[in-house]
Formats: sequence, C-alpha cells, structure tokens
Amino acid sequence: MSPTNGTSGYVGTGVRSRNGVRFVRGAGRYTDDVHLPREATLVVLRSPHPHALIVGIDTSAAKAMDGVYAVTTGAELFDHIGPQRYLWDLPGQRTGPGRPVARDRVRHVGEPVAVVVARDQYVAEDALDAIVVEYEPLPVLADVDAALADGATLLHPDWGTNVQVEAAWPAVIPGLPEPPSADAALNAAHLIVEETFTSARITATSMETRGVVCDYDPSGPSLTIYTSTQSPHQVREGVGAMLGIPEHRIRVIAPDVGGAFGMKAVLYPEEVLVPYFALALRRPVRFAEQRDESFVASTPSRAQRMTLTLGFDTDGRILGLRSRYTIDLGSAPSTCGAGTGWATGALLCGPYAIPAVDIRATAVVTNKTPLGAYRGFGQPEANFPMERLLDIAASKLGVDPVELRRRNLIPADGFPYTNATGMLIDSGAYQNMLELLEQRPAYVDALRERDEARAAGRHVGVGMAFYNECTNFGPSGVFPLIGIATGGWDATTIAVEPDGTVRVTSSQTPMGQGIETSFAQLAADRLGVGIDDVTIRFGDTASSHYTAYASGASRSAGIGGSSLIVAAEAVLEKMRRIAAHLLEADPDDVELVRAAPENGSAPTPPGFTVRGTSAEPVTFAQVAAAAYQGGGLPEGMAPGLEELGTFDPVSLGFSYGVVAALVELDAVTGQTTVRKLIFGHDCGTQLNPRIVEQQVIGGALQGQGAALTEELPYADGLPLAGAFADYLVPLATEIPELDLFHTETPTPFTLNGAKGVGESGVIAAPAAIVNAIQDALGPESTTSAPITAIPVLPERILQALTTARTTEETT
Amino acid sequence: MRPPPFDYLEPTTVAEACAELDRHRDRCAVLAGGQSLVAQLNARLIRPDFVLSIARIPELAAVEATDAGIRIGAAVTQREVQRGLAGDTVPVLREALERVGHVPTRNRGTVGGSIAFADPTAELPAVLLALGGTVVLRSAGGERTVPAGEFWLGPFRTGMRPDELLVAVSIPVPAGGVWAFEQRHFRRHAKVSVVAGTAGDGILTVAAAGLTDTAVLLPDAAARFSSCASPSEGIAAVAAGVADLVTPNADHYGSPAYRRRLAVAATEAALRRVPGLAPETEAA
Amino acid sequence: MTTGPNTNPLNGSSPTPKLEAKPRAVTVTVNGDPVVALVEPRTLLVDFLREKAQLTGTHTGCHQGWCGACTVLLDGSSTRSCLTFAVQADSCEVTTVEGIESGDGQLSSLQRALIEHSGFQCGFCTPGFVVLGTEILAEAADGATFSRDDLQRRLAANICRCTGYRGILDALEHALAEQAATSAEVAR
Repeated sequence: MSPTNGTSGYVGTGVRSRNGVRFVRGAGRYTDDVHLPREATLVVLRSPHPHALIVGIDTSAAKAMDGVYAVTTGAELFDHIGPQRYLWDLPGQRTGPGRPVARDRVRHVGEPVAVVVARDQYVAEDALDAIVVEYEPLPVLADVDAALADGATLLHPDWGTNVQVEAAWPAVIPGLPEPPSADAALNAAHLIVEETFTSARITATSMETRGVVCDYDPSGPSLTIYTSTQSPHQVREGVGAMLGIPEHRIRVIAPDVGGAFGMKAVLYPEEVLVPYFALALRRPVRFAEQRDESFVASTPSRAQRMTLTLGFDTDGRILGLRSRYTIDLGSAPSTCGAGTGWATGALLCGPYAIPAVDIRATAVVTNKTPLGAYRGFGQPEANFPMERLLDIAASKLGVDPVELRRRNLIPADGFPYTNATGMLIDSGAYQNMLELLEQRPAYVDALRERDEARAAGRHVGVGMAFYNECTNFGPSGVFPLIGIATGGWDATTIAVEPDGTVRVTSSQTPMGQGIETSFAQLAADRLGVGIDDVTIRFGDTASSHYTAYASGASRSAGIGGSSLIVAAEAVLEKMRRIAAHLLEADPDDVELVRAAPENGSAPTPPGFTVRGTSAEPVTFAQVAAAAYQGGGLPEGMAPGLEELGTFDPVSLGFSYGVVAALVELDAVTGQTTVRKLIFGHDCGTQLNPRIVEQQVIGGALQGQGAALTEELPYADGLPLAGAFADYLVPLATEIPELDLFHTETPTPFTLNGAKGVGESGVIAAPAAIVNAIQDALGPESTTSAPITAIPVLPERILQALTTARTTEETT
Repeated sequence: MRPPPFDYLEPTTVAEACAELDRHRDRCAVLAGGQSLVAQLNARLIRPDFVLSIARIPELAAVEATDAGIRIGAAVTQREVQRGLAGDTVPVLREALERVGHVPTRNRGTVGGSIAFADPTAELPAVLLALGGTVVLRSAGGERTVPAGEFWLGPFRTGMRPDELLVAVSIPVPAGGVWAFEQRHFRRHAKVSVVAGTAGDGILTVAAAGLTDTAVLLPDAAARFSSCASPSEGIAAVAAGVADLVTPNADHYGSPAYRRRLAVAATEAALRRVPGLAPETEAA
Repeated sequence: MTTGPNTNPLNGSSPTPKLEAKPRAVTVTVNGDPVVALVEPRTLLVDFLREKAQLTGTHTGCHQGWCGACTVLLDGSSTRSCLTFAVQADSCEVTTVEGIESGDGQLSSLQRALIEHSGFQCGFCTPGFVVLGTEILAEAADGATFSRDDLQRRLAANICRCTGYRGILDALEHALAEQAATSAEVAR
C-alpha cells in the first residue's frame, strides 16, 4: 500500500468551527428543541429527606388532575424496570438497589420517589405538588467520618459496611517480584512531609441541563430516544437491559449537547423512565431537567480527602509515597461507580518518578447524590495534594519549588516509563516544559511583579503546578482487569458518496470540544479532499458504529481520530485499486492526487494518477461512480465504497503541562484575584490548535472555580446550594490574563500522534492557584498556615493572614 | 420550575388595582418588574391565586420632580431611573443601581418593586433610608405615606397591609446634599451596602443593608464621628458602629464576622468619598 | 440555600380553592412577525417563544434569572424571558437570537466576530450572549463607550461554562471596534 501523506493541509491549522453559523444564529438543535406530536412531559418527585423510609405514597389526587396521564411510584415500577448495570464495576464493589425510582427507602435528597407524566411541564409540576408522601426519617450519614464511625447506621444493610469499595497500589501479583516497600523508603528518608488535603464536592453545571425525549412507534416496541448524552451506545445498552428490550429495537440519538464535561457520561434514571412511559402510554414522552433539581440529580464529583506522605532524600528526590484517601461517594454507586477514586490512586504519581508507593483508597457511602464523572476524572483530586505537598516540601527542604519538580520529573530519556502503580507513561519532555515556563517572559514578569508588589506590602504570590494527564483511555484488554465493562476501542465509518464527496460517521459525540471540525480536518487531509467536501455525522446509534466507551477520558482525538484514519486508509486502498483498474495500471503505481484549493489557478479535484506518467487522473467522482455502478470492478471486489475503521490503543497517551498563577489577595475582604495564568501544555499532535487552546482556557477557568468558589456544601445531608445564586461558577469578570504556550510530543500509540486535551485545563489549575495563594500569604505561612482544602474561600484566607501575621510577630 | 396556576389582573388605574387588592388581599401578589416575583413563582416558593400587574397604570410609570425632591412611580424601571431625571436628581441612586443585578434585570426590575420586596440585602432600601425617603401607599381607603425607617419590619416583610399598593417612593433632595454608596460582597453573598453622606444640613447620616433583618440607619453616626479627635478616627468609629449592627443570617457565605469586616470596609470607603467629610482621607 | 420569603402571607396556606386560570390570547411581535396564541397567565415568555412561536434558539438554563441563556430583547431592551410572562409581552416586540441576523440571512458583526474569535464551544449560552452583546452594540452606536472592564461587567450578566469567556469578550470588542470604524467612515 503506497503511503499517503496524512499530515498536510488542514490538520494542525486553526480551522474555524463548523458549528459557528448554526450556533450564533440560534440554530443549534438540543434535546429540548426536539418536539414530537402528542408528546407528554415527565417530571420526577424527589425526596426532600437525606435518609428515610418511604412509609406511604398517595398519588390519588395527582392522578385525578386534568392533563395527568400517569403517576407512578418506585414500588409500582419495581417489577417493570430492572436494576442498572455498571460501566465501571471495580473489583469488590458493592452496589445499591440500582433502580431508577426508590421503592422503600430514600438515601439522598433528590432521590426519585415518584414519576408524573402529564400534558406539559406546568401541569406535571402541579401534579407533583399533589402527591403526598409519608416519610420516616432515619439517621443521616452526613460525611465520610460519620459513615465510618463505629456503630454508624448502614445505608445498605446487606453490605454490612458503609465502604462501597477499596483499592490499593501497588498491586501484588503472585509470581512477580514484590514491589519496593514504601515503608522502607519512608523510613530511610531524610525528610518526610505529610498533610491532609480536601477537594470539595463540585458539579459540572453544563449550561444545558439533561434532557430526554423518546418517540413512540406504534409498530414497536421500538424506541427512538433523544438524550443529551456523551455515550449513546451506553444509553442503549442500559435501556435495553433495564427495560428488557432487545438492543436492535432501540435507537439513541444525541442531538447537539450543550456541554457535558463528563457529567453526561453515566446512565441516568430518566433515560430509562422516559422510554418506559413512552411505551406504557403509547405516546412520545419528554423530560427536561430543571436547574434546581440538577444540583441533586446530576452526578457531582471530586469529594475526596487524602492524607499524603512523601519522603525525600537529601537531594530532594522522592524516595517513597504513602497515601490514604476517602471518596465521599454519595448514597450508592452511579454507573461509573468509584471510577474517579480509582483513577486518583492509579495516577497519583503523576509526572514524577517515584520508586515506591503505598496507596489505599476507600469509597464510602453517605447521604448525598452519587458521584459521577467530571472533567479530570480523579486527576485533579490527585494533582492537588501532590502539587501542594511538593511546595510544602520545597519550603522545608529549602529548595526552590520549580527546582524540586525538576529533580523528580520523569526524565526525557525515561519514556516509555512504567510507574509504581503500573501505569505505562508513553512519552513526554517534562523538564523541557519546565524550562520553557522558566524562560517564558510572562512568567518572568509575574515573578518580578510579585516581588515588587510584595515590597509594597501587597499580598501577591506566584505558584505553579505540573501535571500529566491520562488520555486515549484505553486498551480494551486492560479494561476488564480494572473493572470497566466495555472495551476502549472506537470506530469510524467512511463512505465516499457516488459524487465523490465524503461522509464520515464517527462514534464519538460532540459536546463543544469541536470534533465536528477537527475530524473533518483529519478526514480531508487523509483523503486528499477539500474540507468542504467532508461531512461528519455523530451521535446516532443507527448510523454510528458501536463504540466501546463514551466520549470521555479525552479519547476523541487519539482513539476516535485513529479509527478515522484506519477507515480512511481502507477507503483509499479500495479507491486506489479501482483507479488502477480504470487506468489499467498496477495498483502499486497508482497514487493519490490531493485536491488543490481554489486560489488563483483552477482547482484540482482529488483523484488518482499513475506515478511518473502524464496520464489523465481519474477523479474521486469517477472512482466512486465505478464503485457504485459495480459492473467494472477488479475481480472479486465488492461494489460500494464504505469502510469501517476501528482502533484499539495499545496503551494510554499522557498529555502534560505546567500551570503558573499570579494571584493577589485582598487583605480586607480575603478575596483572591487570579491576575495571570501561564499555561504550557503538550497534547501530542494538535489536530486544531485553536480548539486545543479553547479547551485549555475553558478547563483552566473551571479549575479556577474549583480553587476559589465552587462547592456543594451539605448540612446533615441537606444540600445548601441549589441555584447559581449559591453555586458560584466563574463569571466574565473573573478571567485572568492568559499566556498559553505548547509543545508537541506525539504519542507513539495512536495513528495521528494525538493525545487528549479536553481535561488538561482543569487538572493543575487549582493547585497552581493555591500554591500562589500560599506564596502570597508569605514564606512562613506554608508552615504556620498551610492551605490544604479547596475551594479557598475568603474567610479561610483571612484566617491564614491572621495566623501568618501572628506567627511573624512572634518569631 | 414553572409557576403554579394563578389568575392575572391588569388594572389600568390605581383605584382599580386597590379594589382588586381589597377583594383578594393575601391571595394576590403584585407584579411590577417580576425579577424577584417570577423567580419565586418559578420555584413555587409562593402560590398566589392572583397576580396583579401594575404595568398598565400610567400614573405609576411617572417620574416627577416635586417641591421637595423627586417622586418615582412604582412601575418605573431601575434602568429608567439610572438614565433619566431621577438619576440626575439623586446621583447616589445611580451609583447604587449600578450594583443592582445586571442590565437585563434592571431593564425590568422597578424601584418600587425592590422597596416592597424588602430583601434585607437590597441596595435601594438603604438609599431610601439614608436620604429620608418615604413610601407612598394607597388603598381603597385612601393614601398614606410611611417614612422609610418605619416601612421594613423584617426580612421580606413590610408594614404594607394586604389591601395596599405601593404607588411611589418620594425622595427629598435638599440643596447641598452629598452622598456616597459603597458595597462589598463575595459573589453577591455577604453583601453589605452602605450609603453615607449629609442631606445638606451637615449632619452625617449612614444607612446600610445586608447587616441585619432590614436596611438600617446607624443611629448615632453624626455623634460618633464628631466625638473623635480626627476625621480618620471618626471614620473608624462610624465603621465600627455599622459593624456592630450585624446580626446572624442564613447566608452560607456571610458569617457575621465576615459581614462585619465587609461592613467596616464599605463604610470607611463610603465615608472617605463624602465630599468635605474627611478632606485628608478623600480619594482623589 | 437561597430561599424566598418564608414569612410572606402568599405562602400557599390559603384554603380557598383556586380559580381556573383562564387562558387568554396574546399577540407578540417576534422578530417582526406577529405571533398569536392562547396562553395561561403563568406561561413564561420563553416557553411562548420556544413553543408557540417555535423559535428554539432562546434557551433556558436556570429559570431564576442568573444564567442569561434566555435573554431576548423586549421592546429593544435585554430581558430574561424566563422571568417574564407571555401576557406581559402582549402587544410588545420581542427580538430573539433568530432576529439578529438580517432579513436575508446575513450574520451581524457580533455573530461573525463570535465565529472568528471562537466565542463559543457547545453553543448553548451563545444566543443569550448574542442578544446581550447586540444591546451593548446598540448603546455604543448611540454614543456609549466601554472599557474592557466595562464589557466584562456587562457580560457577567450571563454564564458560560465552556469558553472561559475570553473569546466572547474578544468578539464583542472586535464588533465594537468594527462598528466604530464603520460609523467613522460613514461620518467622513
């Protein structure tokens, strides 16, 4: 097969978004924009109690209301909708009832208790008001400590414990040498530092809440489900299993998705309830999650507390690491279980060469909404403790914080590097990234600005954090070992239409990360066609081939893109053979003629020619016509021109980068202003630098929110944040000056060298900002008033300022 | 998040409105700009049988200069006040309104509505209180005016009777009055607003919102200030007095200690901007 | 947790049965076209626009007036359509995002600038920002000036979760500059 040049033209350029015109005109089509004749609206009655027995539910008044079609309880649904399955079924994990609606017992505020289907949202909510539920409150497990205390109420009595699952590293594999002992390493250390860090429970708050619309086919049962999801195939599997409907009768469509960030990658009760009622009522049914319910119904994330211990030698090299951490999982595992908790431990070593580890994770159930997935998926929860503790250690060792990173980063010649938890880190040039930061004018300016401000008595600080990020998740063979129910491969179908234009059907799902555009670039380059001759389709199980995993774990560019390349190569190979047949030449002598754009000279259409001759090329359209006519094809070749490409990564791809923050603290209000963020990142080959930059910027601001303002506080199981008034996401007045730079260290494990970048922005931004805050509090504050929890709210800063001041005065 | 059912009334005169309120009383909510009311209705926090809109009552949309100052009809939007005669006449209103919500909410939200809603952290009540404004109420039984200081009784509670309609607020604007408005908050939480100045009589007046159950005046502001040896000490003393008015509330991000701190900061900043009060500390 | 007035007498304690909320006909001129429909008094303007006028470009994100995804122009002024009843817009003019482009489908300068400056990702908040920004451009055309800080404060009326706002801000600045340059040329 003669190689095609797959890296010219569009890939690597900042092609403008293909969605631009649609979105700015308001022509996006999100789930709530889908309307079907006779549709009814479904709403959910949710528990106001964190923990209670359901004594009785009286639905009679609600049922009698005009325009109400169904009012149904969990007990009534119990025999009709089976339990959910788990995308991530960690070994040893315990599961809850897994029903979409609670039957006898509620375990978190917001847990579904009954369902109403009515004429419209207004009437449906009227019916909710008319349902009377008698609860018998039970003792509340307000937090992990309460859940683990002796004699604590068991949330799931059949478990015998409130521990949902545990995980530990390193894995001890019989027959293999025992891993190095972290205890021994720490005992031999010159310096040990230990702190306990907390990452608050937070939530994605995509601007589009969740939504489901299900059509009813009278010739059924067959279902067409529109849902705002990252993973249509997982929804199909779940609905099929829980409703007992064969998958070939279920079609799931993700229309435009208004943000997801991982939160829409789990299967939700409403995705099963809506189709159930469409069938039961024999009419289309819709559900639009309301914002207030999203704070208790959509899965949140983070919610970890980690005690981290690092031991250093006299040169500041890490000898060993010990970590004990808990995950406040909520009332029961969601379909992704304690996946984020697992990822934290597996990826805790981050970009550092740490020889010995002892890590133990404990996921604990409490009376809160079950955790799901959110950008970073356990990595921010790992990065925050590690990067904070490194700064604390630097202070105690008397070493510059950047220098301490340098001494411990995996060296450039160390890749591929298998770390102490068994993760194979494919590629990187970590020290180089660090040097680039140090040389970056914006960084140098930030340090100078900090020094000048400090001399003038202002509380200004600079802090940094390094990160790597697991992307292109992951090899299908590995997944069963860690409890993931699916594979990690992806699929793309490419068809060259009879007129020679290109239709790509991807199994990834767009949600703002721009794959409509970047995949078009990739396809155009690989096939040698103009980008306007490429259409990309997504998000429909009727046309997108089964994909083993969600659009998540930053796998679209690397794995999705690679499957696109495989399909493109297959299509090109067939076309080349057809072209050779038409040109009466040997296929090995036939090569692709790439489309040339229309600037100046007449445009060249894509086609094939015989190398070294001046023979008239055959165009794509001619080849396609021959393929679809079918009569004049090479011996044994099937007609048509549509090929499936799949790609299963051999290994993960680790993106990486460094974030530095310049912050100023207001000594009166305690509020933090992030003045500047300097962000260096490497995600391997960049399909579209504009999109990459946008992902980094957007993620960084989410990280800033996690650092400074976002949390879902609870008081004895009662949520305190139920609206944007209380859940504080960053606003346009809070954006820092940004200085972005990048390098490209391709991964050898994908066909395009691309690693993921969707989650990069959010992983290290919190630690960088908090390190900067600590710096702003003054050099002594690391010892006297270390900041170990996010978000860092104003009163915490004031407390630290007071402590730091007092310490200064007394030393 | 949709409202419960209600019947909708659109009187075209104040008399008609009062007749409806007399008829329905507690079961009727008055709709001005709706930025607070409709949000409450969407969350089903209240369930009135009737919603009475004042949008079609021309009298309530008027801003009039009066002998004493200015009279702002209940339906006048915050944006109109910012951009029109009222803002010209009472500049501190303009300053305060810049902090109220956002432009889209000020395009609909009214001065009267804010005054009647009685949010203890709202800005406009503090302005009305400081300037010695009055609230004009009308019912089927006639009209009465209530001084701002007697109008708010507690969080979201006023002295209005169920059959009364707020028709206007009146603000005296004596010659020589100078006022400054300052606010400190953490993302609209722990929100403390301070209005400081003199009505032209040289007597320092300080009012604040966000400290306690209603907007409040610092009763002894003038005395606190003048009893100090220097203006900067006076400022500190007044600020301390304002901070002492803080009582606990349900704001998760607004502990009393934090709000006291913000109260001091806002008060000091406001006082420093009152022309002539503390010349050596005045911001340039 | 934010709560409303808990001492308000309107708190659902009335035992009197509720009156039927009579539907009524309203006429709202939407993007220049009159739309007539029967609504309940409680029907929100955003639902009227999305369902009766069948213009789904206006979105909802909170129903509390915080996120701005529902922003439209009501008689020329930006308004949260989730906090407005359709009956309040009777006989009024509403401009939605669909009405920002010209009659023959030409995008406005702000719309073009948003594309140019990557001022969106998932697109859900975009209509709200388009309308919000259009009002700012109109004020500028009337002589108002805006610093970058001023624009940030104005944009803080709406929430975006994807972009980090920089592209939106850049787009708005660009559109303002383009408008200023065009009117300067026209003036010459």
